[in-house]
Amino acid sequence: METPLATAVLFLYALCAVMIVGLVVLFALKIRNSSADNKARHCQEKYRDYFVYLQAHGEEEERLKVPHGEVTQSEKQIMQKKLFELMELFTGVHRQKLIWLCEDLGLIELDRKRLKGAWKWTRVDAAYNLGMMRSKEALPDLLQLLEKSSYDPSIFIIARSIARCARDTGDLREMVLLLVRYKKNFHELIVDILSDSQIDTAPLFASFLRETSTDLVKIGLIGLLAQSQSQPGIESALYKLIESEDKDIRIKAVKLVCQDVRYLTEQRVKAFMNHKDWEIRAMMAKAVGGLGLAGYIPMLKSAVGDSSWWVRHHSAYSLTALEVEGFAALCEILREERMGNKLQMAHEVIQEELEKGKRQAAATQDVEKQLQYNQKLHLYHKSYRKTISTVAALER
Amino acid sequence: MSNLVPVFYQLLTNMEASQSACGVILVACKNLSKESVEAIKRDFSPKETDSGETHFAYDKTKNLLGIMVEQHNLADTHFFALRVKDYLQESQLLSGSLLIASFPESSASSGQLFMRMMQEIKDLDGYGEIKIYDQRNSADAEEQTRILLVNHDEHVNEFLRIYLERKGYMVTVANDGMDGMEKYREWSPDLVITDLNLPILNGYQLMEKIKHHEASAMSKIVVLTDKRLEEDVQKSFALGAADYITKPFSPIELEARVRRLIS
Repeated sequence: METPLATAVLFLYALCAVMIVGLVVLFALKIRNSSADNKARHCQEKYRDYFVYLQAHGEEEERLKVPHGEVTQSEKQIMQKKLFELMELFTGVHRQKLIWLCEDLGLIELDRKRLKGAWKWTRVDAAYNLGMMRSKEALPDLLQLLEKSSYDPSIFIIARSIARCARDTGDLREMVLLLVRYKKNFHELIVDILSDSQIDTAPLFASFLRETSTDLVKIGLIGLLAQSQSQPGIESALYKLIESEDKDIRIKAVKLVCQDVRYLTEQRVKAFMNHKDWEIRAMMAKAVGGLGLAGYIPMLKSAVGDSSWWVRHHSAYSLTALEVEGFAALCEILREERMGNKLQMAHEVIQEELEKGKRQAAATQDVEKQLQYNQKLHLYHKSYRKTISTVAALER
Repeated sequence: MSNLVPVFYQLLTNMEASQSACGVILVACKNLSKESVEAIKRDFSPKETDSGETHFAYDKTKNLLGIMVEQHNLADTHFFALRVKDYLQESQLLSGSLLIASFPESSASSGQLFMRMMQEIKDLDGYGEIKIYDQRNSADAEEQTRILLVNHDEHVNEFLRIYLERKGYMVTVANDGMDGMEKYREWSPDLVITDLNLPILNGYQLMEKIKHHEASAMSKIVVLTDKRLEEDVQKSFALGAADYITKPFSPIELEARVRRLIS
């Protein structure tokens, strides 16, 4: 019969065995890493002059030559790392020549084989490498790999490689469709991945606006907003999206409309300033100031009394952006209002604007700026005196 | 055996007359026997240069081996020199460095090119270095534009040093802000190319210090960084940067901007 002591001794033996195995594994890993480091150092030393040659003749017409003599597989992979580091630095002909060199070294072929390997992380690593080398030939295999992948961070590595290798917008669309099937909220990340492509993505984003899938629509809107440019022919789709049931889509669509003064008819500005979503009202108020639309000063003045703090805030600041005329409207609020949020917001923004103007006028020799500050100060004093006299009269 | 100068001079004159390109390599060797020279000729001539004939000459008094390869531009000559260096090193025949050039890429006058190369190889220190001959460097070193590179990324430093030296600039490298400031004080460069992310002193602090340095009026600052935010651009220009370039960058564009600033 086994005593508790015998069990404890057995357990200790087992523990010691596990520790020894662990130490052996650690030691083996350390030796392997150290040997890899040595190999890399040796290879870098061996090809030091060759790398100088690569860097010295990066802009001439001919392709760079592969090193003379036999280059082993492991040397090629060490060279690949250095070439990738250089590729990350450059654009234009320098990067292109390094890509051609990778091709001539057989690295693309090697990674295309690794893409079909048995281990998942070998395939992902190969996908990353092929993306770095902008291999158009590998694109069908990369799309297939993405299609077969389950949802984990590796899908973004593969997707980025597809974006880098894409031949046309059709490839990019296919990649986006494969990503949105996961139904996850990573639209901004998809737009960022698409920005790695050498293809103009604006038409793709524009086409997404006409899709029924909300994910695609959101990607389209985020993409166009990131590029800060309007695409011809998107107006009708955009106006439809303003009425969308999805609040996020509504807001983004209005944001896009607010970027371009051509879309902002009087009727539309009115509609946005009276919209049920405070975000849209605030965005419109901000855009009026940013685009310098002085014609909407009365509308902004009234919006300083909005129920939402953000709308009041943006309306007041937009008025200050509309030069003396807008500032005068803010001062009118001081005269007209006796108390409440509207008066408070106008007062805060006026104070801040005058402080800023004072600093700028002191720092600059620009007569125009000094004149503008004096005008604003005069307007404020006028309205302030009236406010005081009104208060004084009321007190009396 | 001491026929390097007359033979090459004649060959280069012929090349100039026929308006053909050729590469020239001068190598500081150990004392080569006639057999060694013949072996070198044998091992190199047929397979390495398909496009043009290769000529070899050896100056016994100066221990200089000259190789001229027809129809080779500078890049081809450089690549050929890699093979020459490896071969001589393996055979333990190399005693110094290699100087390479090509006609007409390196100089419009073949005779002048060769004479200056002969002068320069004598002053070349080191062992196994491959130096690209540059007419601008040897002609007016004092008039050369001096560029200080301050970057923590050794790949950027290495590439820009090689690239800008090839374009005729004198380049010094610093790996951090403090080192950058010290080199700035010692060297008073015409232009500083700096990153914003630097150890010890960051790019802003470096620019601030340069701004208050007495020689600062002479130097232009170019920021080369991966920071893309508007605030960084604004702050850099406020601190005296003359240009702002983000990574990844086009070296051709960078050099064009440097040239514009210096001119």
